[in-house]
Amino acid sequence: MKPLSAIYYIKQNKRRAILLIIMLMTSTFLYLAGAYISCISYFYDKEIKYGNRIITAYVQSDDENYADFHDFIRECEKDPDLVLLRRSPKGHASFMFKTTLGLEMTADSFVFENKDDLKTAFDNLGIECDYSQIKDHSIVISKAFAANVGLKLGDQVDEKYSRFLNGTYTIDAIIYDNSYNCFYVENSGAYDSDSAFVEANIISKSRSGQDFWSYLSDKRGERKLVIAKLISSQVDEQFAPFILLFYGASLILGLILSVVVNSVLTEFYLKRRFEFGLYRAIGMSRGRLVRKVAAEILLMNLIAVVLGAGLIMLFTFLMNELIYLPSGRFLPYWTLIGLFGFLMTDAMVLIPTIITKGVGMTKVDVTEF
Amino acid sequence: MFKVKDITMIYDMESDEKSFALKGFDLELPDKGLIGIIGPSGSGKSTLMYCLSTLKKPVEGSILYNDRELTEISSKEREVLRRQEFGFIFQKHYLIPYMGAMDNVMVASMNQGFEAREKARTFLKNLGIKDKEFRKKPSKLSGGQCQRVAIARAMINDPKVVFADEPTASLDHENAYNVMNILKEYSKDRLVLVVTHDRSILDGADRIIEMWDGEITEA
Repeated sequence: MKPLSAIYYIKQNKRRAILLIIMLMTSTFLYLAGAYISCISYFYDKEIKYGNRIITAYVQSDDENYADFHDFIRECEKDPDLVLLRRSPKGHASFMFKTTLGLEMTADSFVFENKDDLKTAFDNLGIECDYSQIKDHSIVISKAFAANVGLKLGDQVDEKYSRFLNGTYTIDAIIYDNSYNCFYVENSGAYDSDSAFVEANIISKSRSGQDFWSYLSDKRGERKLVIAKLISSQVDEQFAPFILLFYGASLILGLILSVVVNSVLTEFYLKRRFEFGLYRAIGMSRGRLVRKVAAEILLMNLIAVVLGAGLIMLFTFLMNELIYLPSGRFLPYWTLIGLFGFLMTDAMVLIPTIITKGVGMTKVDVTEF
Repeated sequence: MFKVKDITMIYDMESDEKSFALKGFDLELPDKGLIGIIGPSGSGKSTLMYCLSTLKKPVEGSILYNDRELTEISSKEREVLRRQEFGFIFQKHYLIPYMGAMDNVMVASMNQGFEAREKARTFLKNLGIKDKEFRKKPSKLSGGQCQRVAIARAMINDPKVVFADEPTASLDHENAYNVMNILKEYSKDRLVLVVTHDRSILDGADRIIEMWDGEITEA
């Protein structure tokens, strides 16, 4: 092993290296914080996916302009790309669920007038379901959602369970798609007459998301009716503050960590002043010394990242297996937000440290000693 | 080898009380031999050595080394010179505390391969360091052994000039005598400059330069 190498230095100075590695691991744990933040979106992942394929159209309650609405529906019915399903006007909120962080949140529900409409929707969304028990006042939820809210197949819920319910409903099917939405089947009585749609769930066979929404908006034209906003844009609006908060916290933590690591390293390298003075005396170039300092710090950081990542994965695995999954929650292993937060903090720690220590050590004069 | 002309070194240039470490003198040094530079503390002997070895740049004057003006070369050229042609032995050996004896020598070597390690091994053995002591850190070696490792480090690249600043100051008489013998042997075909305030170690010197208050009083 070459005596000037970073590995040699770390091997010969284990205690100091371990202390610094532990400090550098702190920035790795920001990845975990990011995972907790972004796991909120995990609960809305399927809702966004379904919301991109099913868009609701309706007339606002204080607007009696049903002529426009029916005209719109007739136009949609002629479109081979669109599937129109009657939406029960007795809309219900979904149950409150607990996120991984313990926050209570709710998602949108999907309400269908009858079992056939539910089946049509599920077929288009690729959801497999046992329809044998589905009837009026049925609720379909996922296994994960059921575990989260403490319900199981056959359970009945009413106003006592959720103040948003108006009557008694039964959990008549469990699906395995990890969604956190309620799928209601409710015969509202508003569709006894075949002629009239009151509200519509519109499914596109080929479009989704903003493309689908724009297509329906263009089709609506000047008619007075509402094309509901995409769920994804609503979710983004709700969670943008959380994400900004996380990045802000990463920035602050990065600054604090940078100052702390820099101070500790200053002390470490002060004790090595004569060593670097000697290197300059025997003709080592400044660039070589800066690279040596950078290699030492970067290697310790790499060890910190690997150890930190290992601990985080282990923690995530144990928490998921022992606590979160059994209670219908989840902590993701991989998140872009977490990665970005960690990289930002790590860069804020490493770059100034390497520059100040690297350049600083090249200025040591052996004749001082 | 060295031609020094009107060399002047001032410390605390900005201050009202400037300190003249070297007061403008001339000096010529050959390309081999053991040259002692002697004087009391503050006489400028170490400063002269630092200027000759490019560790410091004089305020005025010129230093020609093999017809090369050392006061005008770049920082990079000075680094190359120190690496390839100069060797340094300091008063307190300045061995790196977390490296063994062999690694302390290898750290100065221009090559890090097997041949360089064998050369370092030979040097250390010739200087009386045993095999089992090669991996010992400086804290486990005696003062004399540490200084001998420092000598091996200084000579590993076969420098043309060895600068030794008080190399025996922290040694007992026997070790001091041994170190001076090694330097004397090396000076047969190289230039070895020894800075000291102890005249007794310069018995074998080819030439002694006396300094006082930044000037040469006898050479």
